[in-house]
Amino acid sequence: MLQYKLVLLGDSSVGKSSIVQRFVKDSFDEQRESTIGAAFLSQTIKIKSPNKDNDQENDEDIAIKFEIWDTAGQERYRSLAPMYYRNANAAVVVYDVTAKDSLNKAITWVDELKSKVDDEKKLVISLVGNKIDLISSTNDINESANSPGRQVDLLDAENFAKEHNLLFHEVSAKTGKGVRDVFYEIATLLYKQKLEDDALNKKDTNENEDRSINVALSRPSTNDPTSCCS
Amino acid sequence: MSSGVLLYCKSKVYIHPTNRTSENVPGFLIVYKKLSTDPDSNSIITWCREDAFQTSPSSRSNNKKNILSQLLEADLEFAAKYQPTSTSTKNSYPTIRIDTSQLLLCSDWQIFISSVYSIQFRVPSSWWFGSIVINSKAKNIDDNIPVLFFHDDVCPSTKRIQKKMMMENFDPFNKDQDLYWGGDDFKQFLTTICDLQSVNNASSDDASSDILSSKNNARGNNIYLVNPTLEDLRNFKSNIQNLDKKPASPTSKNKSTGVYDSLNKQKWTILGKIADYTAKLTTPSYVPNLLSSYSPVLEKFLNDKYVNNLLKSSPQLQQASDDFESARVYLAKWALNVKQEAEKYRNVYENLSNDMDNMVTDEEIHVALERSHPLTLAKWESMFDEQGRLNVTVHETKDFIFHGGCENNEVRRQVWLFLLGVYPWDSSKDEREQLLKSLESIYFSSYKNLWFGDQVPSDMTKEHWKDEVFKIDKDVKRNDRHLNIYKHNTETGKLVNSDDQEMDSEVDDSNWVIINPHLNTLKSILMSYNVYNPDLGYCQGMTDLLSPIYYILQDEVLSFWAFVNFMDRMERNFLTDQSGIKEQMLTLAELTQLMLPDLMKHLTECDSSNLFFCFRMILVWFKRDFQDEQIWKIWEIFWTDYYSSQFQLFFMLAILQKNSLPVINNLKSFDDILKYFNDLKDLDWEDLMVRAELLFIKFQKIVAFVDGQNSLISDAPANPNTTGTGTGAEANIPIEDKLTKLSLHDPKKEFIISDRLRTLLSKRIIIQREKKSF
Repeated sequence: MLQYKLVLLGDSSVGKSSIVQRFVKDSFDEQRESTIGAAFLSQTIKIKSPNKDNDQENDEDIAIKFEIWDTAGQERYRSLAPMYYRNANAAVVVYDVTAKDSLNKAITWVDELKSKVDDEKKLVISLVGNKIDLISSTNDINESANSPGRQVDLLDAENFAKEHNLLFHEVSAKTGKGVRDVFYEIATLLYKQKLEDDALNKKDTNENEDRSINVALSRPSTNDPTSCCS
Repeated sequence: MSSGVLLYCKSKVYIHPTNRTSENVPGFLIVYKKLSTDPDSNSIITWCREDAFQTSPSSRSNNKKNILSQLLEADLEFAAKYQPTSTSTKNSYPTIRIDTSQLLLCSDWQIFISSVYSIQFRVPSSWWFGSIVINSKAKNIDDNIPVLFFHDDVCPSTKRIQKKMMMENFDPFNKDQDLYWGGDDFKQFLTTICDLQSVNNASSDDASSDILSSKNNARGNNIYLVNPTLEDLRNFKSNIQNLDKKPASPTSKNKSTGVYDSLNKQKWTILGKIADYTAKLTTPSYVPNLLSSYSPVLEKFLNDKYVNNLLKSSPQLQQASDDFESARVYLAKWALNVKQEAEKYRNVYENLSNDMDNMVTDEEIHVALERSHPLTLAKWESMFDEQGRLNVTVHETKDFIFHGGCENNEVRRQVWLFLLGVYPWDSSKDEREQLLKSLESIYFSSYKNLWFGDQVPSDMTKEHWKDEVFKIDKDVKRNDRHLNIYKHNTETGKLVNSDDQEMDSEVDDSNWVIINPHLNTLKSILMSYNVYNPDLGYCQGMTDLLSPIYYILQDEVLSFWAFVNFMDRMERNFLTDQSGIKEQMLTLAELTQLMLPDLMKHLTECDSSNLFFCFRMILVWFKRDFQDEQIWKIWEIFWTDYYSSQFQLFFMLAILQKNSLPVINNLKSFDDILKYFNDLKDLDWEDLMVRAELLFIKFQKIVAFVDGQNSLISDAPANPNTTGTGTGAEANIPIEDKLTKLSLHDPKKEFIISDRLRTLLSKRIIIQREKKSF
């Protein structure tokens, strides 16, 4: 089994914890308490091996375990975030499609991750717009009086994601729409990275032990993704 | 004529001066109070012979005759107030004016309630009348107070109550139902004027002895202490539960101190007194002999001194011996329980003593363990004089709270206002009423009115204020919604009908509007606090701190001020630069290094020596790690500042100590440790609190010892041999050994306790303010 550390970042009350809860427990709780410090959850999923044509055995599902750190969103605690995202393999940066400012916060998180994480290319970042259930299907910005409606344009966010080489999704933790895809996409990408790494390492050396050491050096992770424990 | 108020009266209460029934003397048991302006005037218990009111037929005795009829009438009036089921809710008793000088003339003896040490209530059996024994604090008065017997068969008020109870809840199949007797309504009355604490059922919170103690309550000879101090309660508890096992306990062998011995004697004096009275009427000592021939199981236990002693003093043996067969089984079970209890207790002592490296005494462990005397409403009220001013020391009050917490939310509602500094400890009732008025007007005029009705407080920008309100609103909406008062978003806060449920689920919209009155009040308080402390602003975690306070007080103004005072000490947790919380983590790290060096070594190896994993627990004082009821108790203990104003760090240290082994053996990385402490479940808060207290005591001793040694080193560097004579001789050697073991010091080199660690010894609250302004 492959293990990856994933961290959720984003402004307060955009639905980070709800996305995790939807993913891990497939449930939704309107009255979730705010997160203080960070919450930890884990979830294992199975993905199809991408290169099934090679070998029959590879046709089996690949188990991927996410260790998820769900952080507190308030600005005040921002200085603590590095404690949680250090050694992360993936980050889900969340904003609220009905709160304009939350995308700006999300952008600052992306910038921070890009600047602080040593191996920028390897960190998989997914930008996620949450709460699309609050946008009535028929309309665009500010149509209904009761609902704040969409405040963040889909294209704006999508373009930003493209420019910065991020994965991108709009989801609803409440209905569950799109949540699964976020994590499956990340898992697939991480697995692809691992295969590439393995291939590289194979060229370098034939010894298995050396391979894992190399990876450990390049990313001093406590949850070394290459450690297989199944 | 000196007038007074008759508080209670019971007819047909007899004394039995001799063994002959013909010489029994009927009379009235009376409680009254003189009318006077002296706030300390005290209720008086007295007993008057019936015939004292009837003696002479002269004209002057008219008064007496009047009193007699008054008393007979009062007897029935008080009886009407008796409520068989409730012992906790207060009845209002009628107050009847009475001529106290006449009462004085007729009475055999009198005693102030404040002079009563204890009262023993002995329920009637088929061959004895129920009776009470009053023990006074002063020894010599005892001789004048005879045992009072309640002749239920001739007492009109008792018969009336019995009849009433029969009518109301006759249930022939309910074996547990207590038979009412005359002493019951006297007991119930007493609970309204003083704090009565039962000492017989002190162990009723132990699940294993439930059956026993409830039996004990129902049929036993219950001893009640009147307005006891915590010291009294501790003495009694230890008497009954664990005194006898002491000689057998290996840990206590070499540790008896002089103080402890004298404490022992004191306990025995008190017990001895009661035993004397009991011996007048009962001879239970034959029972064990009788039983040993029937029960092979018991024989084993009867050799145990501890069990044997308890058997002899067991009140229910009297009853049980009626039926040998059931008695045998019953006693076997009971003895087994007692044995287990004794062993459990012994183990707890040993384990704790070992965990503290034998640096705390048995007596200190005993005090820390003894948490079964929560502050009851009666006790709390008994602590105030007639002007509503505390008449015991603040220290004693805090001792009660620290070691037992508040019994229920009714007490809590009052106590918290003092603990949180809304009311000064030395205020009178009038002063508090005055204070409340001004607090109320300041709250509205200076804070709430500045924002109420969509205003922006004058010294803030509109944008900033909107942002703060938005943050508060978001967090209030998701605050403790599992609690009944916050649960439903309806105008009453209650789920009234299905229409309301519709409203409840209107949360479809993330901008739903709060209409639950309690959530709205939380929001109001937080917004007002934002005006009160604009530099700090709203920080996540503040709702967590406010929510329990409001839940208990349920009053906007009081909760606001209580919160303001709580935030005084908590502000340091919320500073933008995190300096306050980091300072606490540094202190905790030094403390852990000193107290749990093995754990600290491991944490350092795991890159976790900054103790970052304690962040959440310290930030909101464990709010997210315990149930609500537990948090109330934990916080009220912290608020006492009984040992230290930063007791939360010792509580945290206790959590670390308890989890040391699993952490050292199993966890290897920063993330693992963070995960582990993030998800600690089912923590036993009481055990942790006991440990926290003992850890503090141990810490204090280490500091005292190091200081003593350092001063000796600096005073007489040439002669290090004199170090042993500094403090109490018995404590020195083990601590020295211990310190060496802890590799704290080279005995010849100066070891310094940092200033940071020293702040832990202070009871003064540390205040750090946010400096930034927006």
